Amino acid sequence: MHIKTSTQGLLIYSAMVLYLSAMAMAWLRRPGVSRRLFFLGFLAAGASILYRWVHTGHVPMQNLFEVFLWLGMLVYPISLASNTLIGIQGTQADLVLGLLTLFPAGFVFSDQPQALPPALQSPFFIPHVASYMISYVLMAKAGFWAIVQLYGSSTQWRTAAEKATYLLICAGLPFMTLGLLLGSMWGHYAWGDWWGWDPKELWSLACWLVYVLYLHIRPSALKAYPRLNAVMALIGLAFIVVTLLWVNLSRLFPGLHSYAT
Amino acid sequence: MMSVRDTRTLVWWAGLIGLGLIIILCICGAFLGAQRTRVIVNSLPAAICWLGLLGLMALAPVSVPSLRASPALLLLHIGPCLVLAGGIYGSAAAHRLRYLLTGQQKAPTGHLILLEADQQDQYHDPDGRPFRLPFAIRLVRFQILYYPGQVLVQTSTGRLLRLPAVPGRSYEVDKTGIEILRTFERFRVATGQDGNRVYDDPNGEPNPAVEVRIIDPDGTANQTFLFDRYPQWHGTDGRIHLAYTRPIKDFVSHVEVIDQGRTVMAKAIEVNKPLHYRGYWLLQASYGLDPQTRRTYSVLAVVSDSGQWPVFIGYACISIGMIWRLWIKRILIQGGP
Repeated sequence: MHIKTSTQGLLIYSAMVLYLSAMAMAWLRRPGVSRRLFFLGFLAAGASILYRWVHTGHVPMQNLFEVFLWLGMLVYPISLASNTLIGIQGTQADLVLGLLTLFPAGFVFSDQPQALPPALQSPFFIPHVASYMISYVLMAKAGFWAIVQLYGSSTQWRTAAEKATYLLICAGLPFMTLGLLLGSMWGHYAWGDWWGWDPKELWSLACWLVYVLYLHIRPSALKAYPRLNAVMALIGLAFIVVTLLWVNLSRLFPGLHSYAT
Repeated sequence: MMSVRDTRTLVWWAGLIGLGLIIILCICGAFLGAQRTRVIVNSLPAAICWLGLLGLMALAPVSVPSLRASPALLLLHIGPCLVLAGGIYGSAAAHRLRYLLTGQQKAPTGHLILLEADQQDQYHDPDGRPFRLPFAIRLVRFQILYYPGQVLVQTSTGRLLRLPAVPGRSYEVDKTGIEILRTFERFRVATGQDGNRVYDDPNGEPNPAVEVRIIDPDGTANQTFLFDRYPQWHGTDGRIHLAYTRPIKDFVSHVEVIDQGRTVMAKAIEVNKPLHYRGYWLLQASYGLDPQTRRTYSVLAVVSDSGQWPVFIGYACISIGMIWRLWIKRILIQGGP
């Protein structure tokens, strides 16, 4: 457990406290205050990223600390966009997601800045990582609605949750696809190989294929096995967790992406 | 005789099973490691499976009318076909087959070692077999670019800090003061009558170093030199340990391409900035110092570009199809739930 006493740490903890306060206000049925606190939490997380950016001298997307910082910040704009563009609510779930993603940045991973190695100095670096991060937040939201679909109290709730899961996967999969393909293009220019069969690449492909499979089986499974869709969305989310955490942190999967830790 | 409906169902189920099998292959491959997975996916049984998958995906738009009716869905199914076709065409097996059929000698991957000021047109595949490029490469100069130096500090609790090695700066870590006094690019020691003198030798070999003063909590001060080339921790009674490092920013091979005796191109090959010429990609892979001649050499990876265009176009098809089908049609046009 790393408790950060630096400005960086204080900004992260401020964002966490604001997200937590926003959750408390939502439970106390004060949605206006909750929304404002959520926005302030987003600003604190954004300030933390900006501070990191200035401190390291490059876009902070290099390691898991920086990735989790971004995930915690992205929750707010993605929550807002999914609410306005596809009418999906669930601010409290978004706040939980924000807290869960900021926790590793605040308490688990070291914030020691590192120089950007030559392999990461690529025009593909930012779009590849950014696409993946946006898709991960959207798929995590989809995972939440899949749980609601599985354990929802009424048929109406379950049907709405199924549609929300589907729409969030529709929004997230193109980002995931761009992330995957941009990563492959990057590999081509950095190592001369589109595909290196590296553990991280393989888990990413497996993850993408699970969502592709979801889209293939959804129309036919909707009537006969409606819960199968939710299970597929949760398998996809489990694969994301494996790709993001287990592959990077475990010594079981050595490969080209080990610098991401 | 199978009906159209039966064929469609068969293609549908075969496609789903195919997707499921690739997911399982990916998971198993992740545990096996990249090297073993590469051997498996390039084996003959795997090649048959890839061709079968290619045929199945090509058959999907033919047998399922809704795929033909939707341009986005069509792109989404043509894209992976092109990627697979490009991958198969660029594979080691396809290169071997082309050699048997046309006599074209081209390894899919290999490496080329170039000493500074030398030129070379021969490269070796991973098994050490020599191949010839249709042009030659001359290494004009090899360069390593560094970030500014950093003093690494390890505390007694195992915490690792990186402090910029800027002369004149002072830091305090665990009540121990660290002052950066001088940095050297080519550190040398001259021995004279009045003792040893350290200096930066403009003509010497690179030997980056930093001189630091460590002030213990009781006020005792010690000066020491930390070297990038000899990484070791300098201790202060077990409280903190120091080392010096200069992280590498980039490797650059300044090369010239010589085709039929003429210099046709000059280029700086860097990581992420390869050279593409006459069907080959040349990428910065490694470097070293020849122990006999004391000359720097650069190692360039040589990669055949066979099959790259179908892959590029396939990626574009998948991306456009995804955005069209899911964002534009499903979210922007059809809207929310």
